[in-house]
Amino acid sequence: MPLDKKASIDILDRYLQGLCTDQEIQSVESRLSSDQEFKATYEQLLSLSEGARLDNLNAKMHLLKDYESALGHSTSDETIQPSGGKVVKMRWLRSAVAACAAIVLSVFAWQLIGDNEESRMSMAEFQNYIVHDIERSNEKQLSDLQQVAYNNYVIQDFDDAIPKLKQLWEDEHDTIAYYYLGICYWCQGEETEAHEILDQEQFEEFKKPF
Amino acid sequence: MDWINYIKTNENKALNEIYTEFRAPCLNWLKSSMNVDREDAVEIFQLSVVILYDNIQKGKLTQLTGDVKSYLFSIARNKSRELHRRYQKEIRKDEFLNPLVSYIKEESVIQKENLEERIDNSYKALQILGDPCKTLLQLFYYKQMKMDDISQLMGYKNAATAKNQKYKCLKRLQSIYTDHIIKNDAIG
Repeated sequence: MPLDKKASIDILDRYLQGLCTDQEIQSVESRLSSDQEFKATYEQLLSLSEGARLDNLNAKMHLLKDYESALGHSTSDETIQPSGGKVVKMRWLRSAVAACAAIVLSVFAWQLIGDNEESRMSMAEFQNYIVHDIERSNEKQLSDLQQVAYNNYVIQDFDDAIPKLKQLWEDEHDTIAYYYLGICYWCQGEETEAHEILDQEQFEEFKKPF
Repeated sequence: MDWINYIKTNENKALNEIYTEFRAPCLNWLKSSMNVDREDAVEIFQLSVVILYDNIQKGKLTQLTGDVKSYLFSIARNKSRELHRRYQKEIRKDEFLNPLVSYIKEESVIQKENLEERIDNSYKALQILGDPCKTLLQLFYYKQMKMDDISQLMGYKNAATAKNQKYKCLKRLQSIYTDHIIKNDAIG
C-alpha cells in the first residue's frame, strides 16, 4: 500500500517539490535505491502528478474547444441556406449589399496584394530559409536576444526582426543572424542590401532567394 | 500585457483572450507557412495554447523574452513539424496518440517504461475520486501550491487540516487503484 505511509509521503512530497536539504536528498536517494516499497511510493506519486497534469490540461483543452465552437458559430463564413420562408422583394437592399460586398472585396484584394508585395516569396518557400534548429533542447542554448530575433524572423515579422538581427551581427558576430538579415532585406524588396550580405563568401553554402 | 501573471491569476479568462487574439493569425500562418490543413491547424493552435499554460503552471516559463505571440508561434511550429514527421511515417491520424498524452510523455521525468499506462491509470483514478479530493491533489501535485494557499483557496481551517485531508485523499486513491484499476486490468 504505497500511498498510506505518511512519513514516506511527507519526505517524498518535499523531495518532489525541491524543498529538501542536501542531507535529505542524499537520504531519499539512498532509500530509493535500497527500499522497494519507498521507491514504489515515489513512482506512484510521480504518476499521480502526471495524471493530475493530464486531467488539468484536458480540462483546458475542452475549454478551448468550447471557445472554438463559439467562434465557429459567430464567425462562420458558410453560406446560410434560405429556409423557404416568404421572400421580400427589396431591390434597393440587394444593390446596397452588392456595393458593400464590392468595397469589402476590393479592400481585401488590396491587402492581399500588399502582403504579397512585402513578402516577395510564398510562406512555404520561406521555410527553406530557416536554418537554426528550433528543437526545444537547442532553443535553450540560444541567448534571449537570439530567441526573440529568430522568432520574429520565423513568423516573418521583419520590421521587428531587422534591428535585433543587426545587433546580433554587430555585437556577437552571429552568422545566422546576419544571413537572416539578408533574407529579411530580400523579402522587403531591398535587393541591394540583401545582395551585399548574401553574396559574401561566408554564405556560399547557404540557400539564396536569387 | 503581463500574460504570465494574467494566466496565473485568472487562467480561464486569460486563455480565452489569448485564444481570441491569436487564433486567426496563427491559423493563417500554419496554413500558409507550415502547409497544414485547417483542421490540423486548429488542433495545433489549441495544443500550443495548452502547452503555454502548462509551461507557466509548471514554472518552466517565468519570463517571456519576446512577446507571447512569438512564443506561441514557436510552439506551433514545433508541433506542426512533429505532425509532418508523423504523416511522413504514414501513420493514420486515428492511430495518433492523444496529443496531450504524447506531450506529457515526452516531457515527463518519469522513466518511460509503461508511462502511458501509468499516466492513464492515475488519470482514471482521479476521475473516480472526484472532488474535493481531485482538486486538492491537483493543486498540490500539479500546481505545486503550498498547503497554506490550498487551505485558503478550498476553505479548510488551516494548512494542517488541508494536509490531513490530503492524506485521506491519497488513501482513497490507493483504494481506487486496488479496487478498480488493478482489478479491471486483471480482468482485461
